[in-house]
Amino acid sequence: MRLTRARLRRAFRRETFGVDVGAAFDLVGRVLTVLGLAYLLPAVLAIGYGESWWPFVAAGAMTSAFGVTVQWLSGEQERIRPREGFLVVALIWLLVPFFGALPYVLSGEPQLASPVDAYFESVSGFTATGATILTDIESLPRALLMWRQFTQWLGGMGIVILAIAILPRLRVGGRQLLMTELPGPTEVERLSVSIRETARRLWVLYVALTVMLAALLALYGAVGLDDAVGLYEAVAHSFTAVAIGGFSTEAESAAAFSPLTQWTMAAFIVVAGVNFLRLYRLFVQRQPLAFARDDELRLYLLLLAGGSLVLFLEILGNGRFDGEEAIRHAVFQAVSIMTTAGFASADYVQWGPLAAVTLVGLMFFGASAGSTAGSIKVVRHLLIGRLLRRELDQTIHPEIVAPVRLNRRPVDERVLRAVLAFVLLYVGLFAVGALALVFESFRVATEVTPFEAISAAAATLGNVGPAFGFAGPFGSYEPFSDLSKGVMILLMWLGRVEIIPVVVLFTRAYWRT
Amino acid sequence: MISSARLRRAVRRDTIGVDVGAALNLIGALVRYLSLAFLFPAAIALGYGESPWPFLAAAAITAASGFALERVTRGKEQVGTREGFLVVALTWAFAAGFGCLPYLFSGEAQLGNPANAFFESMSGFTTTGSSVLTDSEALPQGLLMWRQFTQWLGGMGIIVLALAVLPRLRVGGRQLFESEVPGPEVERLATSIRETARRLWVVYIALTGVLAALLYGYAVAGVDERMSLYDAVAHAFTTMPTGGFSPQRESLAAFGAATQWTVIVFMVVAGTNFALLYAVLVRQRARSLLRDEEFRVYLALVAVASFVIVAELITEGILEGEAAVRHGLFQAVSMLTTTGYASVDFNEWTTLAAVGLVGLMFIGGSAGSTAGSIKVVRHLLIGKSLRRELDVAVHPDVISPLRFSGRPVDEKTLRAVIAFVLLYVGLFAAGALVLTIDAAIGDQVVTPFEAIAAAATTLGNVGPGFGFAGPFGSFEPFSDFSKAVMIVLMWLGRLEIVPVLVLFTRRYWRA
Repeated sequence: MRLTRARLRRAFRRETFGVDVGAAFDLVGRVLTVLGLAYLLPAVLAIGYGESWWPFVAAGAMTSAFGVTVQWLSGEQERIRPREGFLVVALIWLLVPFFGALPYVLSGEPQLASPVDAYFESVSGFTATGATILTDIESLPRALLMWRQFTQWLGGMGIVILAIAILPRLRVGGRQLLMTELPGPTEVERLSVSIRETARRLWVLYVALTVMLAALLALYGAVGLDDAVGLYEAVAHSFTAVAIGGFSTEAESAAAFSPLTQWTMAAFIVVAGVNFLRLYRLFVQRQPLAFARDDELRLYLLLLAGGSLVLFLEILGNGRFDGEEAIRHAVFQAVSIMTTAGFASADYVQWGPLAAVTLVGLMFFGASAGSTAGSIKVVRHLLIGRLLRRELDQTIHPEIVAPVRLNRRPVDERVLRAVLAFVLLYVGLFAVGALALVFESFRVATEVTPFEAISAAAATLGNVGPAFGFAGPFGSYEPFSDLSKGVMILLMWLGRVEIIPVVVLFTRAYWRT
Repeated sequence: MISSARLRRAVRRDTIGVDVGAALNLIGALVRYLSLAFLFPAAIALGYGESPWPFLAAAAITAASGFALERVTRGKEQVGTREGFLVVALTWAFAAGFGCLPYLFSGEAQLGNPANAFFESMSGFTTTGSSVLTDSEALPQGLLMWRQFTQWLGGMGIIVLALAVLPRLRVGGRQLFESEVPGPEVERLATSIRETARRLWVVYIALTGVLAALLYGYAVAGVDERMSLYDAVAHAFTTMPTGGFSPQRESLAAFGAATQWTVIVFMVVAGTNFALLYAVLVRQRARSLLRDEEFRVYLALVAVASFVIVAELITEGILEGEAAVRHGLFQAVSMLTTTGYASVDFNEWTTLAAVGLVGLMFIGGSAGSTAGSIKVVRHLLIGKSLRRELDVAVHPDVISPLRFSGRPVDEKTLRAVIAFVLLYVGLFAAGALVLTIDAAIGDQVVTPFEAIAAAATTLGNVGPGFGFAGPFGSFEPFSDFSKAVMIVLMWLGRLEIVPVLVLFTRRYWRA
């Protein structure tokens, strides 16, 4: 036994590979150990509602036990370099959902009995996607439903760190841009310490936003402004709104609530889509000027306004809604889909082809790079627009050398190259995913039109959630074949970690010393 | 009293940064040459006892316009790079404009609508091959041959565009090819372009002649009894420019297996870099063919694409044996090289094959060929640069230049390539969106997939789409607005977008 452990450690040692696999697993193990505690919340709820609590306790015990074992096997290696970072990021978003699916499987719930379905639901949770395979959400036990909401909130906590502290250090998709904005003494610190520090500060903000939304919604319920909202619904939906996730405990998503609740949720989703570093400046450091002077923020709000306007006109032309209702549904849906949240205030599948194409188009924007949103992100669109503009200028005057600027600062050419590479990979992966879904649904004779398959690929890769056809906002991904679900699990995973951390694992250069 | 002297002064270089006069002068000369082209269909019409007047009238109007344009802008023969963008953008618009005159004058009902006539003409000169004709065989022989001829003429223009003009304008990373073009190095722009054109046209004309002779040979030898001299020439005219128009309503499905195999081979040749073909055929350097990285990737893509389509056809039980191989290969090559012929109604194939074919529309042939779409070399360079990005993500300190055919590639060139591809994808998405929306407004039965296919096929200069715009169908049911959108897509796709876009920047016009 001791021999095995020593051997394992040696095999994982940095000298054999260029990557310290042991250190990577050690960190993954620590994350899983802590994750085990998260199951206490649904367990307590289950006891409170008189539902079966042991699936959560068992799952928590298994998760922590696994985490401790991995840590023990890999020994105490604390030194994580950027090199190992890729592996850690890829593994965490693969393994955490795996353990997160345990309560689904253990609960014996028939809708989640298939391991593929349970894993799909869990990946959709931790990546804050919001695509569901449930056909009858409200028949689930309340504790299990809350666990589903909670996975998105936990995922969101991870995503904040991923987006602001980790991916920028891994230089993924040009994110090194965000490094310059990090609050606090970032420069000369050890990697893990500074990440921990950043995490602590941003989580305060994240938790505060969640509490504010939950309190507001609960208040509406208590005062009688919205009969459909109780404390349970308030907490459940604030978990998934701030995480830009989109899971709901209602079969009809946000359509189950009153206009006021819908407006409030839309407002909080917009805020959650703002760069958290900027929000930190505004709320904690009280620098509203620095907050407003952000190119990305302006384009983000502009895009939201533009998307809402287009949808509004389409809804009006459609004659489905008018007045406040038309405005509300247009704004809610534009916000929900563009920021990749995925709530629905109405069944937009019935809005006709114009709105459908607009909504699928919005799925490719996302919100700010420093938020929990998925998809390409606004700042990348901004940089690419400016880059194309410069290309045209340089075509006319080849001798011109002008840097692309963001917030008046010149952007490094390497960053631009990384942004371009990311967007190309994203579009390519979307095309491949859509193609695979079309092929597979044709093979097994699922009733999916090519457009629906395309929207499903865009909705999962962009971590949006609902798509079109049977996978619409009031529908379910359940009818897809297991292979299709496998493809979409991959898309959610890849989209969330921004593709590159996974793809580099398959290059020889990564593993070489 | 606006004298020509005043006009000349107004368009002089000192008012704006671009010498519009010089650009128009060159276009005038090109338009004048174009008028001669109408004599060919006029002769055919006489031979078949049809009226030659539509062609002669078109020739007269074209010649007069050309002369007038040249006269107004006389004395300004100095076209620089700056003017090049304007010339390129306007040439295809003017050629399509004058080229549609015979359609309008012929009184042919199918082409009576100016939008239809202009669509057909733009589809010809950009060698796209999308057609608004619902019954092509009802057209007079002279007019049908003019339709074929517009593609052949377009192809001549494209060779010069692709190998001599766009590289000098540094469009979409084409500067990569500047050194490859045969011809003396240090010359004046116009002279060197003229010299390049002369050499490559010899190859183009020779290959067209060989194909026409071969096809006519099948007719004489009785290998393909449906082939005639007329059809042999007509199809040779549209194969070499990777065009895709056919006088037959059923395209290449009207002919025998031998003809189809021959056309497959010539489509592959037509999708090859003409500078490379020149080196191989004229300078007898066969080895440079295999040493060319783009050519190797091009062949590999053709092989893989054909294999996938053939495998789909066989596993789905749509076709089998030689027919499956032939039709799979034919359709894969036809879509990949952006020719657009059909050897069978692929509209009836299953969704799998359909999606596969739409995917192929984004590849295109070699950059130095008459093919449209993104082109193989750009896919190759993007693949390499993504590969490098991954390596840099792991080792941020590594700086390694990309290599293409053994030579390092300039970073500017690489950026231009990526920018082009993004513009292409963006334009495709915008086009597909507009077509979908217009179809929804006009209550047309166009599925989103068909709208997407129509945008891909026109922007990529391929030809047929899916649904009613399938290979044996027609683009006629689209609204006039949709047709206008597709005309713009064909035009932009052919010119590789950038030359048109720069015209809309302020910097272009500033001195």
